[in-house]
Amino acid sequence: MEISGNYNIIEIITVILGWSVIVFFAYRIYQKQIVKLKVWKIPLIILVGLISFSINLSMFDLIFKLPILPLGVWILYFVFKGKAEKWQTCRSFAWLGFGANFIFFASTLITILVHHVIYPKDELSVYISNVENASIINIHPSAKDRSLNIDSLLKQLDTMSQEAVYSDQWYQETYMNTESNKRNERFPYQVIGTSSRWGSGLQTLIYIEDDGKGILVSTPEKQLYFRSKASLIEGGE
Amino acid sequence: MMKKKLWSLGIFIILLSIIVYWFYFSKPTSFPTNEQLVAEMNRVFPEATASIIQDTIPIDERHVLAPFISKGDDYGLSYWVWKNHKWKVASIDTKGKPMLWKLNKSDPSSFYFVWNIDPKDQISSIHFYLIRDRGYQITRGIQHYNPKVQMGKRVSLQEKSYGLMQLSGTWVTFMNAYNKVESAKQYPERNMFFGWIPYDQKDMGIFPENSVNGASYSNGEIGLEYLMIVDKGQIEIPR
Repeated sequence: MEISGNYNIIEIITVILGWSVIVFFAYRIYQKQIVKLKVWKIPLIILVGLISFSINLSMFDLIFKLPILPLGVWILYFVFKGKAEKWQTCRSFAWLGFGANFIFFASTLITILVHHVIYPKDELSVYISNVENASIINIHPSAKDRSLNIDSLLKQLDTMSQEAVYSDQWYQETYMNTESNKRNERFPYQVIGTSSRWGSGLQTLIYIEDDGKGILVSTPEKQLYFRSKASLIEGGE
Repeated sequence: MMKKKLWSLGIFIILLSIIVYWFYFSKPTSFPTNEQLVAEMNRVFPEATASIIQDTIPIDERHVLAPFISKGDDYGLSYWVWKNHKWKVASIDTKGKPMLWKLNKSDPSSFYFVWNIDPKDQISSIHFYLIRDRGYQITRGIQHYNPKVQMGKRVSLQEKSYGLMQLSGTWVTFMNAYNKVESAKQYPERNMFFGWIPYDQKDMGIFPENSVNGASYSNGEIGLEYLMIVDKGQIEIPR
């Protein structure tokens, strides 16, 4: 939407760094070669070398690909079977391609670690910044005619306390002691017009509790729940 | 010699771009007459037995909705799209139960509810809903709670049997945020849906027998979503 957008700046940097490392190694290999490979063939060999059989590792709520078998290197080996000199000039680049898988693996790990340091995942201000144009919309009929108190939100952004998400309790409370379909939603407001901190690339759905003192942040990975002392909404009645 | 070759190459490229522009990007020509619409519909989909075009409603430059009545007195909908330098009928429904027409699938602000309800059904208003069901999950100790989303919009059918309505701003705002979070998930949930409830004069829910279970045609290039009739008991009325 806006130009600043919401890109994961850490990821962009590590991907560029990763490719730079590959280019650097390719250059070193090229320099050392006595019989040189044609330059345009080098990226091709590296790309084929990238092909690999990998296993999926699950860490930090994410899935990583850990390369095991260098399929691309084997393919090239068979292609150049019987052409020993040609294989000699290609071999290092093919293995570099396979090695690139580990460089990407490492860069993903670095991305996550650095991201955690720069954008602490338990701070509300990482998920909510640019509060100036924020407002709320009603997403359930139990929401009342209220508006967001931006000053109150700004003041309490850093002091709100994180609490556990009691999902089953909230769910059951909603259905207890209510006749038929006269139910209230615990989080009937959605905060709009905010963005997560610049460069974090975090996507969020932000809900406000019916008493105006709770914020539920929903990201693709998890949910966080914060409570404030004073109400974040005002008006009505 | 070389110069001559360059010249002909240049002319070729210019001609090609003119043709490509004309074919894909040029402004639509005037919309066909009602007689032409009826003839085209009955040609691509004889079951339509279209007879009277009730109206032609342009949604934007390239999309037109044309509600029609068939020879058997059914109320249907036809969807017209300007594509490849031609007005094409993208879909035909012989019965006009509400549908959601997505002009651009990735942009909820281009979504329209469309309908053509048979007057025999005596429906005086329709409630449209966007719903995401309440739910909770606990996986390996990590808790997740989905608040219920229920947004409604009432449309009165007093004057015409047909009509269309763009998704309202708050619906679009919610959907954009929802879609961004869902598409970044490793296992997207897609638990949001659209529905409708028909009401008669006395505000009682009724079943629109004459407006459902029609035959339909599609050229496969149109974003049309079926809308469920929501059970009234599923709708939460806090006050």
